[in-house]
Amino acid sequence: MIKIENLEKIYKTEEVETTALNGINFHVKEGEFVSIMGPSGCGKSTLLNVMGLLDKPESGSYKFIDTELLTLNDRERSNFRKRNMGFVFQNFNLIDELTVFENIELPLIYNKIPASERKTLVNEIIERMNIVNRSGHFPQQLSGGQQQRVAVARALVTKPKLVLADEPTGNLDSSHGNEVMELLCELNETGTTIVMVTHSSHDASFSNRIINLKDGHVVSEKINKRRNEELI
Amino acid sequence: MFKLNLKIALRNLWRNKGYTILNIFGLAVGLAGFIMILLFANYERSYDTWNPQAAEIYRVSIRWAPGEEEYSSSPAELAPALKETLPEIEGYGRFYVWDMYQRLISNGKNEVYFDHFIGVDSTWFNLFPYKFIYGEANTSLLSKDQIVLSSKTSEKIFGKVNPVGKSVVINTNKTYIVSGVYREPNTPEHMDNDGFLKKSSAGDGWGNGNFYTYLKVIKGTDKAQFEKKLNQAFLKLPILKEQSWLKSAQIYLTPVSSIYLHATASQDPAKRGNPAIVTILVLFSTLLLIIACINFTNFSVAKSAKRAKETGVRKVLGAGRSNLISYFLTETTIQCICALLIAFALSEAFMPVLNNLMNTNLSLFNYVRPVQLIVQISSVMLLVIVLSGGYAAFFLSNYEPVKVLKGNFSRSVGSLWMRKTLISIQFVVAIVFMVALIIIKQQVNYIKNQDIGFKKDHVMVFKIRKGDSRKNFAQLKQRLLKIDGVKEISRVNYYPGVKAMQVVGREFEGKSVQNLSMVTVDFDYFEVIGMPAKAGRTFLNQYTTDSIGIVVNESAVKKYGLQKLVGSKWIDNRTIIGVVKDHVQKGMETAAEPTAFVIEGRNTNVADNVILKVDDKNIAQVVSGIQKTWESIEPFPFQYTWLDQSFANVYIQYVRLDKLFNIFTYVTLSIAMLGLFALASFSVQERTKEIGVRKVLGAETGDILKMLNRSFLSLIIIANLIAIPIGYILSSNWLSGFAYRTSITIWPFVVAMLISVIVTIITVSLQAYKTAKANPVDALKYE
Repeated sequence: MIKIENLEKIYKTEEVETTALNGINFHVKEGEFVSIMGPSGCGKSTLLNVMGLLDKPESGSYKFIDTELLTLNDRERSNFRKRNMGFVFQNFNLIDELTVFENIELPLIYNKIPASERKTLVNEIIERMNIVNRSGHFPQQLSGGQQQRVAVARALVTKPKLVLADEPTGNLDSSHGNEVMELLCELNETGTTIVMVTHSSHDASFSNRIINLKDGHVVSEKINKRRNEELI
Repeated sequence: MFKLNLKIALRNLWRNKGYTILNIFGLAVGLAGFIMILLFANYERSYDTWNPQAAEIYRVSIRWAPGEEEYSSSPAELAPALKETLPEIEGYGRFYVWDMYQRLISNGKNEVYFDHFIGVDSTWFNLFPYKFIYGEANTSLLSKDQIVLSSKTSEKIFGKVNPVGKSVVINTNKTYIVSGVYREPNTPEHMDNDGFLKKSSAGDGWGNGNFYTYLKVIKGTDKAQFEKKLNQAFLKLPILKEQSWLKSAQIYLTPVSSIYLHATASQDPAKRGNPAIVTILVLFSTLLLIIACINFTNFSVAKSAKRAKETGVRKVLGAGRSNLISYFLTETTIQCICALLIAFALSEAFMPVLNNLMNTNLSLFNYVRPVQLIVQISSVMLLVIVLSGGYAAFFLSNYEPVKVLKGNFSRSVGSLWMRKTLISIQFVVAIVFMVALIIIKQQVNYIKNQDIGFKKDHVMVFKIRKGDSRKNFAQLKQRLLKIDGVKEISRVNYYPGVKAMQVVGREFEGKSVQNLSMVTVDFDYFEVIGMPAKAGRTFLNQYTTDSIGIVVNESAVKKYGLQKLVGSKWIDNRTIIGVVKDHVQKGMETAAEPTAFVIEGRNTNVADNVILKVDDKNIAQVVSGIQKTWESIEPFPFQYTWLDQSFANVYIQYVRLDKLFNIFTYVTLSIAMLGLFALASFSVQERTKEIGVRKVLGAETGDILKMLNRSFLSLIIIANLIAIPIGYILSSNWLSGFAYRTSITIWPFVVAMLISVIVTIITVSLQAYKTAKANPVDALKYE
């Protein structure tokens, strides 16, 4: 589904140039759950941001089901993103001024879904995420685990083809972290493609395939047999 | 400690150079405006305050009967009669209205015209103790041939020498000996004066109040009580037994230092200011300063998010609240002092503009009362520092260190509300200014385009200086008419724009005719000035009886019920020969007064101005022709004015107000924009992450711009809702002072609202666009 070739991304400040991605090649098949691992500064978050069209690389190609995404303009990128992708962040990135319900509703509003339909969709996902009794609360009133559930719910409400997760358990204790990982697994089992950046090999063990990055290169790739066997 | 505070403060200010500069400059502009207006207001309020006894000097004014106007003049007999019965009166001084005319003074070498020689009692200098450079005040006006000069007058005639004992000739025929020279006081005076001489009349009798009377009372006399006592004493005067009509008179006192701004009498020869304008200016410059202070507060509160961490660390390290407050106030004070210095420079630079507008000669560093100014400015600065630094200081020092260190401060709802309220106040002020400006402009235009009832273009006026010229005017007129380009010629005493007029009271067939303004003219006056008859006709040379006829205006017809009297006899046995349209005489505040026009005769005032209509071509040539002819008739230097120019004086103060308001409005709007700009920038900064999240979720640049604008626009709409009634009330109040006024329409309010909305959208969008357009990941990284 995703085909990335020769991707290069350089950060420039006044004094230094840092090459974050140095000619990366990499594929993701539909329905896969891929983990990206590597030491700090290896470029894994950058890769995820480029995949999510949140950042522009200097060169290379990024095909999503035969559509080249890097040549799109701002508006097209934004449109593509809101129709096909969902995001989960380490620090949740919920909007403090909006309630749980409103946070989840937001991507639907930007997708111009009519209000009545929005309500059904949001209620559906709230139920599925087991946060029904929290829908009127503000993010600050929730625990970290609950906040991440809301974030996941928000990522899923538009039924995206691809979910991008950036250290989704990084701010959570292990029991809440496991909850979130199980949630992602369930999601993957229903057919959603997931790409996740993580430090934790425990989290990575939930995925089908693990990619190791170092200095902007893919250094190794490993099929997670255990998980694949479980699936069969 | 102070040194350390100072160092950190300076470093902090330096680190945020951009905001610091905006901050200081905004405040400097506000302060400069305030200081300039302060100088002007001080000047307007300083009239006659040079006089050390100002508190004991009153001018007498009289209302002869209830319902009539209050006159600032009184009979000469009044003051001596009252002094005999009232021990509170220490002395008095009077001047005579007919002694005020233009004089040509010559010492044989220099010939100069002076308009403001005043004929006074010899006791005058007891009330107005001018400092005599040469000669003695108390012996200077003992005889009729003595004259006292102001130092400027003396310099113009004699140069820088002592002229005492030398002689001058007035109007080519009367010789006077200079008996003294006084220095002009350092504050302005309600009566302009070039010098003094002895008044030419001891009194006209009780029926004729042509004298201006000033009383000097004993120190500590209460004004209200004394006024009462004065009226009681007046009613007991023996003269009232003979002349019972005096009984209805009411005497009023005006303290000499409040004549300029607060005298209420009409027909006043004194210079009169407009207290409303002074108040408006002071009020508005204060508002200007306040909104500059608001900017300051907003800047510091917004910046406090960045400073909170530092504050938290300081608290953890043991700083008490008072340490923090004094630290933040130090920072504010540094900026305020910088702003003040810039403000001094700005006001010195722009003072000439104000001087030009207000026709003054004020200067910041050359000010007559430096102590007063220093005290005023220092107290304002103290207020500014507390107002603008205070909130930030107390607000920041109140943080709980734990919260602050965790980073939970910036979304503090209270501070956001505070900032929003302050910015709304700024816009309320700016919108009120805009509305006021538009309405002032409309009114000034209305005044300028108002039908004034006569034609003022290409009409020349000059003074007749010799009685003979008036007697032989018919012949002189023929000579002037021969000049190419002279179309019509006549004479008049009170041409339009002259405020002091003769007002008479008569009786006709048992009915009283009061408050009738009398204008003395010559034949052809209405042709010169373009006032056709509405009924009957105007004066015609061929009807000899016209010289004892009378022409009245529409207001007179209305007031005295003369509709059916055209063609028949009226007051003074004069026949009403015609009715002319009302015209604007004194200005736009005064509705047309009942006026009658008569031809100069034995029982009238004299028509001592020549008024001519000239062709609009080759004006210079026509003028020089007239000058040549007239100088051969009267041996005086020729001086003339154009009617349109002298008439413009009746609304010049409003043209000035309009110009001043232009400046006010633009400055206010820019300061408010500066505030909005800063607030928008901080708001964008604070919401950067939210913007990023929204973009990740699919928001487009336009959505983000809309979202940011919406929150500010709602503030501006609220500001408009508050400002509209305020603007309406203020403007209709101001307009109600005019007899001729425009009506308030919806447009000023619509325009002000549109401008405020457009300015907001532009300012906010400029700030928000960069963030809204950026890659969302940059926003998400922002912490």
